[in-house]
Formats: sequence, structure tokens, C-alpha cells
Amino acid sequence: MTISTPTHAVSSHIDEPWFREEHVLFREQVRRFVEDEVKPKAEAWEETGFVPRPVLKKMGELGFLGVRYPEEYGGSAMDTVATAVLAEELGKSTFGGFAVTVLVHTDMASPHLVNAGSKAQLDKYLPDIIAGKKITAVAVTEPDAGSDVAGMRTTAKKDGGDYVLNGTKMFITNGVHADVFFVAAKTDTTVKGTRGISMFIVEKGTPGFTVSRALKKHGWLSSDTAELVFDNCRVPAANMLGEENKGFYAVMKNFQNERIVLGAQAMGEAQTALALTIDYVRTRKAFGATLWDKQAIRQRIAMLSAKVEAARQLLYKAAWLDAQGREIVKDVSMVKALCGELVNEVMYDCQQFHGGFGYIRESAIERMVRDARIQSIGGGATEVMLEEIAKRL
Amino acid sequence: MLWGGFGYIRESAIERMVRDARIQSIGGGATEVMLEEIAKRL
Repeated sequence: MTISTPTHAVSSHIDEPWFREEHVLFREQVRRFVEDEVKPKAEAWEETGFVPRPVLKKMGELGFLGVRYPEEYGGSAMDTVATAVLAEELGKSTFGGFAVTVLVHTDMASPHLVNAGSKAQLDKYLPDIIAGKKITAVAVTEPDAGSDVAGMRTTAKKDGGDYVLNGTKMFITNGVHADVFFVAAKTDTTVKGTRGISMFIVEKGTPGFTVSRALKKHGWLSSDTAELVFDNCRVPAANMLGEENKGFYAVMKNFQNERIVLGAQAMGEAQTALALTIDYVRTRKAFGATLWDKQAIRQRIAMLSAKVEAARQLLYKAAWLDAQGREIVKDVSMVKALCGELVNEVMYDCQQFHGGFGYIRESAIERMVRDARIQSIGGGATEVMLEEIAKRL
Repeated sequence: MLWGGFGYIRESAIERMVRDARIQSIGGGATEVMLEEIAKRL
């Protein structure tokens, strides 16, 4: 097993304005789970390419999969700050693939159901989702439509009491092993752009719906990612999520939540990478002293620590504003742009300071470098985020 | 940079602000001194 736990404890941040006691307790609970149930086991998941279902069920039992969901369905009814705490602690596991498997389920896929679902749909799916018995994925992206959904080609045609779906979805996280998919399709092909899109609940095993291939990735190896094909896939009209032709607005509604979570995950990863690197350079000797004794190295680490702490505060400010019901698009776009780039800057230097060790598969930092690369691309690429900020300056 | 040549002449606010800003990484605890203070506490 590689070393993935830094020797000195990271503070539990009880003294920051965003946190109440419930956040601190929740952080401790998640941290304990990560130490006991994730770090000693997750290297095997990197090999097999997915997180075993019993791990997710255990997280469900502990209440990690319904942080903000209503208590009547088994949720914990906490706030956005708690969501960011979950993502940050999962990021600290050093296994980005594990973290994103959970976070796609909790904060990128299942919110579509919770935001737009009818009472009947919530009753049917939400308890199992919160319990980890059913895992979710969201299928919006296509081979020709990523951050720009205007190019969407998947269609859903009404036929009697059903809709018939045809098309291909790409880069779908949890795509191989999920049970319930929230799928975006054009229900009105006469209008262009983001209009005429509807969301559908599609269960695994629905005839005409197949996982055409599991995608091999650069990083996030313990996360399963798939290409999905819908070939005359028939779903009952009752499976439409929210209003017809208004699906994209429902998708957009969750963008801010997704980006807070990704920013928090990235800063969790960055903090642990810095702590692991400090441990390493304090023991590694070169030219008669430890690497830490070299100003060039410790000053770079000090500056990165300052940047990470600043970015982390920005992200909690955004989460806190969201919890107050405030408009946060500019703040969240800043969080996503900054954290996605910063985690890569941190990993580059941390790998550098690990020397040859950082280049071999045995070191946690080697994995973390690969895992970080997607953070400036997925869930709103840096360039897209910068345009969102610029529009609001 | 964004201000082009205008940012280099004395009548622009940005020219003054650039000069004023330069001391901020030197005075009251230079960046290098601050980084040492952080490093001691990591």
C-alpha cells in the first residue's frame, strides 16, 4: 500500500465562520470512514475500475448520500456547506476516482430527481438513492456536445404513452454500474440551442439501452465511465422528469452545486498532496541537508499553501452564500476556474519535489497528478468558467 | 498590459497604481520573509 496519510493531523477547522458544530462532527465522521474504509482498500478499486457497491451502501447507512435531502426520505437535511465538507474530505482520500463516484451520485445526478421529480418519482427512487441501494448517473454530454449542450443529438419522440429515445451519450461517470440514469434528450427538434430538451429517468435494463463501452481514462481509475447507446429505447411518459422542453433549465440549476463540489474535492486533494510532500521533503536528504532546508523548496510549498487556503475560503464562502439562498454564479465560476487550475499547479510541484518517486505508480502523488488533470476540464472547463466570470464583472 | 501605452504615462491612474503597488510585496514583511513564517508553521 502506498502512503496516503500525512503524518501531521490537518485541523478540523472548528474556528472558521462557515462552520457550525454539525459540520465539524460530520467532517470527523467522513474522515474516519475515509481512513478506515477507503485508504486501505482503494488501490484495488483503481485496478478493477470501479467502487464496490458494499462501500457505497455503507456510506448510505452512515448518512453520507443524502446530506441535503429531506429527512422523510432518509436524508440529513443539512446545507451546502455540509456538501462542501463531504467533497473536501472525499478529495483528501487521495483517490479522485472514488471521490467522484460518490459525488456524481450525491451532487451531480440525484439532484436532478430532487429538483424536478414528482412526489411519485421521489417516493419510488429517493429512499434507495439515499441508502446507496440504487446508484445514479447523469447523461447529458454527447460526442459532439460537451460544455456546449446546443449540439445535442439524442432525441425522444412521443409514441402513445411512451417516449422513444435514440442517441449516444459520452463520458458518463458511473455509467457502467449505475442503476438509474437521468438522460437529456431533444423532445422538440424544431427549436435550436438549449431549448426543446427534456430529462428522462431511464433504469438500467430498459430494452434498447446499453452500455456500449467502458472508457479507459488517464486518471480517476476507480471511477467507471461509459459510452451509452439508446436504440429505440422506450420509456413511459411518467418517467419524464420535470417539464417538457424545459430540461436544460433543470440541468443548469444544478451546475452551481456541481462546481462547488468539484472545487471542494480539488482543494481536499491539494491539501493532502501538500501535506504528503512536506512529510517527504522533511526526510529526504540531498547535498547534506533535507529538501525542506532548501529555501527554494519550502518557499514554493509555503506559497502554494497560502493559495490553497485562499481558494478554500472562496469555495466555502460560495457554499455559505448558496446556503443563504443567494445568487452565486460569479462566485462559483471563480471557485471552479481557480480550484481546477490550482490543484494542477500544486500537483505539478508536489510531483517535482517527490523526485523520481513521484513518477512511479507506488506513490500516491503519481496517482494524484493524473487525477487532478480532469479538474480543469470536467464540470465546466476553465475557459468556460472564465467567460461566466467575465460576463459578470 | 491591458491599458497599453496609456498605462505608462503619468496622467493615468493605473500608472500611479502600478508604482504604488510595487512596495506591497516588499514593505511590512517582504514576501520571502512571510513565506518563511508560513513554512515554520507547516
